[in-house]
Amino acid sequence: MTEEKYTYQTEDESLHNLFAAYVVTAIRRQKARYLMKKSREQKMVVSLDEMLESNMVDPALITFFDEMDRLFDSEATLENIICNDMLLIGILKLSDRERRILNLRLVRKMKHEEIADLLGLNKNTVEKAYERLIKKLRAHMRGEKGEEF
Amino acid sequence: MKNFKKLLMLAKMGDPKAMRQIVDMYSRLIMKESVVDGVFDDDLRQVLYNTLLMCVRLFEF
Repeated sequence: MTEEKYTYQTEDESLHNLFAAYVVTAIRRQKARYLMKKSREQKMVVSLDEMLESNMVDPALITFFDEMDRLFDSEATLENIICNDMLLIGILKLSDRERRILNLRLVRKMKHEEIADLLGLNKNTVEKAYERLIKKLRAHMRGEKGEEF
Repeated sequence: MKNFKKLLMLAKMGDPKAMRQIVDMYSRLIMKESVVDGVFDDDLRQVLYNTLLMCVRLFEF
């Protein structure tokens, strides 16, 4: 009887130890993953700041920023509109045409047809391009790799 | 805590008291791991608590 009890306790202890090892490993791995993701995000923000400071920004982008700023009141700037740095970086990576479509669709609230007329494109092309750029931005926000801009 | 297996099974089934007991067991470890370069990171603490809950759900015995 005593022996049975002793065995039972040992099994329980070994299960506890196994679970503890499982938790410790999972927590340390998760911490490493979290820190890696955080450092990657910080690097991206720093590189954006450096890019803006060193005037390496494409003139087309500056035009885009100005265009966005003009659409809002004088106190609003693009930085105020897009508070999320990750999103801003994602938009910076889009092509000129994609940025233009995004701007017309979201800021000017134009329909796909109107955008197509304005840019001299087919309505389907605009729809597909808009869908694709939203997918790109979503993938970028999720931190997915391999999404070519 | 007399029987860890029973406690773990109850936690797996969603018993809040059992879950609380397991969380209490590992909260010191989580608090320790939430400090990065001498600074406490509250977001990391949340992530690690979620990891612990996942461990309870996924651990097989």
